[in-house]
Amino acid sequence: MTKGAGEFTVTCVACPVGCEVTVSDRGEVRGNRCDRGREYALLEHRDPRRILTSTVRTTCPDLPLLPVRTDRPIPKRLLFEAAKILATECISRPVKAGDVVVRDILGTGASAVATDDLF
Amino acid sequence: MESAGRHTHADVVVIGGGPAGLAAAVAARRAGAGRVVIVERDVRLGGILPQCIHAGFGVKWFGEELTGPEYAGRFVKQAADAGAESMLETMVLEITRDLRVVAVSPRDGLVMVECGAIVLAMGCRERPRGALAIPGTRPAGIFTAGTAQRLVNIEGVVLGRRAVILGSGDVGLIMARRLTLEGVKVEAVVEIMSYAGGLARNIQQCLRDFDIPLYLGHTVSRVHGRDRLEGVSVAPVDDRRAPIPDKEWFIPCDTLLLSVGLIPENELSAACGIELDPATGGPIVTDEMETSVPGIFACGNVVHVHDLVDHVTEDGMVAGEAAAAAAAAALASASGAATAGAIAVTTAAAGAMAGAEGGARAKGGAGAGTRTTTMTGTGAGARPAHYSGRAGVPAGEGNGDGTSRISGTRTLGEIRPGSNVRYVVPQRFVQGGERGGGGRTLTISLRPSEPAENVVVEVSAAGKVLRRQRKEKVRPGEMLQVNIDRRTLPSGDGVVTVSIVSR
Ligand SMILES: Cc1cc2nc3c(=O)[nH]c(=O)nc-3n(C[C@H](O)[C@H](O)[C@H](O)COP(=O)(O)OP(=O)(O)OC[C@H]3O[C@@H](n4cnc5c(N)ncnc54)[C@H](O)[C@@H]3O)c2cc1C
Ligand code: SF4
Repeated sequence: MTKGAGEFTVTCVACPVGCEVTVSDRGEVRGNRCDRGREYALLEHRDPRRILTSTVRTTCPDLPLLPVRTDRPIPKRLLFEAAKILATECISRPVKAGDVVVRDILGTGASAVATDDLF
Repeated sequence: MESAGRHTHADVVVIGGGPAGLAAAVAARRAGAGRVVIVERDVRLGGILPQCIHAGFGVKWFGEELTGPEYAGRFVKQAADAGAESMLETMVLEITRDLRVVAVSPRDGLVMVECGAIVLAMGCRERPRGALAIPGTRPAGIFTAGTAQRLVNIEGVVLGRRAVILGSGDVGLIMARRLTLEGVKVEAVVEIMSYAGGLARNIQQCLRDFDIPLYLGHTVSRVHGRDRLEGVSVAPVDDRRAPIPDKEWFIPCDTLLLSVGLIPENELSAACGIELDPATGGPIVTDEMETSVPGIFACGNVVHVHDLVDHVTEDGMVAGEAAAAAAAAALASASGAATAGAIAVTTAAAGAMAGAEGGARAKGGAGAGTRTTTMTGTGAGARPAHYSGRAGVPAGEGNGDGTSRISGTRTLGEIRPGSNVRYVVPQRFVQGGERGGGGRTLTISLRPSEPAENVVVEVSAAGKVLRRQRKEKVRPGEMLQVNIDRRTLPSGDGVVTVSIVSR
């Protein structure tokens, strides 16, 4: 498949078939085997978002890192910056899985929550 | 070994506290097994999951995308709620055909457990680097991907600044993203095969999202650097997968991750004489996840390497339920033969088996003081006669000969891989069995040998097609499942073949 100048191609991950879906510069979608793929590719084109999973440091010797995730997907372009913010964080209090660790990252409204218990 | 250390009893002993073992323990307890003990060598339960901090677990089982620690956390809680016990920091050294488990822990020394049934859930390990003969030096900075994952995600080690990943298995792909977000420049993922090993989803979200190049049909042809890795040579490979020297180029890097495959952990199984399948590297199992040794069951990555944890959990549930039934049958048959008082009601020793103290944050659940009925007469010569008296599981017709009978008293059919199928699990099915895979349906898991498009997964027996299932795409990195109605299965010790054919 040749790729035009302003075209955008993504592997649909909505099901295991994994179609290569292309959105042309005029917004036409091809390569999808079903509607879900169309939706997916258009969203990926317009506003790709991801859950960020990472770790924050802790003062607990048994668990030096606490795994965290954002409670909702954040814009893909903010992943690096968000990861940097988490890298500067250090937890010294007990938390339970699900507790908020960092609130409203970069104004996205998404919080980083613990995915494991600490202490 | 027998006289040393502590001696105890359990209805079901589960070896390994990963998702497979946790599910087995939950199911065994729910199916009525009295004392269920998970023996885990690590300081906590969860297996590989605590280091898999990314999301992508449980979509099928829970209908939501959890991280590894979250998925493990749910099952650790379920196991505790169900009343399973755990022995942490306890390494199993030996299992025997008469259903004894020998383990060692720093606190209790040698422990010997006599059981009604055993569930193997030891997971898998990474193919070591030594198995790969890459020419060049042996500097620091080379890790298997799983080890790197533990160092980065659990211990907080910074591996380096520029990395190359050899192999496109899921662990390597996940680490490519993780390292990238941690500020490491991942220069390339190099895969010797002409197709990627990992899930399509991971190729997209771990590589393409970050513009990390994937070189298919390439390999690392040389390692450079004296003390610390300084770079690798990468070259395309020919038909025999040998690097083509004049097309080689150099990539500077201080870190090389090897993501070149996982091998089921079966030293214990092999030593006990359990029949292994060379195609999976794991035990040959029935649809109830029973191995060739009656009373020993297996589930999860110890049976074959799974790409999704949800399937591991499903296997574990089947194995745990069947193990509980086997333990109950053993107990019943022993009490039938209780003329010499072979049954004793014992009170499990308090403390020692309650794993929660073992420095772990995971709680093992109702341990101390549980009253358990266990067998004391399972010594040499008194192997529990599994199944013979089990209700609801009629013995099949056509008994006698046949190589396909791996469990003492029932007739087993055989399932074999056909064209473009690398392996199938289970490799045997119990005639008339209703439980494994759920009621009337028998679920067969399989992996293709080669990628293909527009195909049909075809299940046939004695020249008759039992089931055809269309597939748009199949890839070795993605396990397939096909369901068949048990009533269509051949009787006796018939053979079922699963093939992938073009449409
Ligand atoms: C990097 C990576 C990423 C993954 N990503 C995903 C994903 O996104 N989504 C998904 O669904 N699945 C994913 N998986 C797959 C999933 O995690 C595994 O299939 C699953 O963890 C296997 O479970 P298990 O219980 O069979 O083995 P394990 O989790 O390996 O557990 C085995 C346990 O047995 C213990 N053990 C072994 N030998 C002994 C002994 N002799 N005595 C006592 N204890 C012993 C070990 O310590 C370990 O705790 C991923 C796997 C990896 C490695
Ligand atoms: S487009 Fe449809 S068929 Fe293709 S991968 Fe996406 S969901 Fe699956």
